[in-house]
Amino acid sequence: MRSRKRQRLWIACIGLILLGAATALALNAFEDNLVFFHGPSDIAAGKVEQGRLIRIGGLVQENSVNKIANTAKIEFRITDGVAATPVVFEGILPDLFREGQGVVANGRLDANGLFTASEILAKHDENYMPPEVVEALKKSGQWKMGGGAAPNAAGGNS
Amino acid sequence: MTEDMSPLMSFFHMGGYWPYIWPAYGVVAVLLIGLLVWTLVALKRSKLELEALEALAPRRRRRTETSPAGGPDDAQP
Amino acid sequence: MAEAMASPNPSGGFFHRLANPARFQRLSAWLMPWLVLITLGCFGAGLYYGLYASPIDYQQKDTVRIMYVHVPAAWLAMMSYSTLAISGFVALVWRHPLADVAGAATAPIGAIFTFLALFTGAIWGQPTWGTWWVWDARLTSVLILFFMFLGYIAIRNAFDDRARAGRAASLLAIVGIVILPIIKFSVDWWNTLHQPASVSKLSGSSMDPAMLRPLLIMAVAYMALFGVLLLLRMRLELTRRRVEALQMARAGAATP
Repeated sequence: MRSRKRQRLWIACIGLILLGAATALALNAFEDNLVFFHGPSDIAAGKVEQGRLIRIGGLVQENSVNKIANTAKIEFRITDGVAATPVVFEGILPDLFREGQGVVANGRLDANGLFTASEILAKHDENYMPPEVVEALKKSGQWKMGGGAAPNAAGGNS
Repeated sequence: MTEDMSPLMSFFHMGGYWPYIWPAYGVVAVLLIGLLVWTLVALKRSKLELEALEALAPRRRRRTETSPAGGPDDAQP
Repeated sequence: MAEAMASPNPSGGFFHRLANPARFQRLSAWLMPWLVLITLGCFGAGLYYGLYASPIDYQQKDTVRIMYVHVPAAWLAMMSYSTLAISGFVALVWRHPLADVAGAATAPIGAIFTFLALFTGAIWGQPTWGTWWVWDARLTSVLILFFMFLGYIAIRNAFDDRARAGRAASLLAIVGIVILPIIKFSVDWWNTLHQPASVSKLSGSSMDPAMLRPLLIMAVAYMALFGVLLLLRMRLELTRRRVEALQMARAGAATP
């Protein structure tokens, strides 16, 4: 009777190991489909198909946001610190949209490398802080987030 | 907009995000309390049912019939 | 709580002592008042800090307060699934009846916590990200977790034979354990809209202490409530099984 329990234990453990291995292989195989967005570097490297509906993500480049005159459109550049993609968008921006902020844009890339977005989502980073703390950090020069290339907000760690 | 609000009003106003914050807390409260009440009511009901059955059953049978908790498994083969 | 009962301790004596429903009832009666006290106290303090005595976030403003109900719900969803899988493992390997009871009792609790994580997450996503829902790896894997709890409950109700239903459901719970690392690491392995972990980071938490406090208090409150609900639902399950056994015995006695 103890050996039957031991046998069940072995079957369960071996089953779990095989299951884990199978899952890891499957996830590895589907890697590309599980990625929610591409980075500007992928576009620069020509990994992204033109004309297809895709998402690109990264930080809104500092001093790149412009309202296009006489239209409701805005243009800006999405960067991951290495490459940058120009984006045009017409519509409602999320509250968190600003320069230096992580965003994900849904749209199509044209032949000139311009990305026309139909939807902009803000990507929040994992830092939570009261405004006074941020002010204090900025004053003392220890503020690292929000500007330049924060790797997490750019999501370039795939 | 926020200057002329009473402290209580500004608490409920939540910096303008009240349509998001209060429903989120409300759903959590309703579902967690609901689960608790549902469990307590079901427990009460099944206890009454058990008492009624035990009152009906002959005394000598209780020990043998009520002991298995998980069904006829080979817990002690 | 459940882990203590279902921990895969190889010594059979420990299991068989806990397998005794009378012992379980005594232990649960002793634990219950403490758990209720912790639940009430921590919910009181957590709501006070979470809704009132904590600062707003520099970017999200007041919406950060949704985190104090959202993140613990997600943690508890994963904890519930661990309980379900460990219970299933113990029930299948050692045929431990109380583990089977614990699994049956956990499933609806886990389903509710997972639903709350998804629902409050959607409410939080609208003002911060600008969308209620996206099919990114984190959100999708948590939705799958929700369906797994529902599937577990469905399997338990699909069989007339309780022992067979328990074995099938336990097997599903064990196989489904792969979802937990996928949920946890989805934000690191793939690009997602959902942000990476803030609290459980190797480099220390990236959350201000004034915000970490309500979050952790609420997490303790959720955990204590999970304990209360689990003990109550296990009692319910045990009572139901006794009722069933008595009814079967009566039916058998009526038609010899």
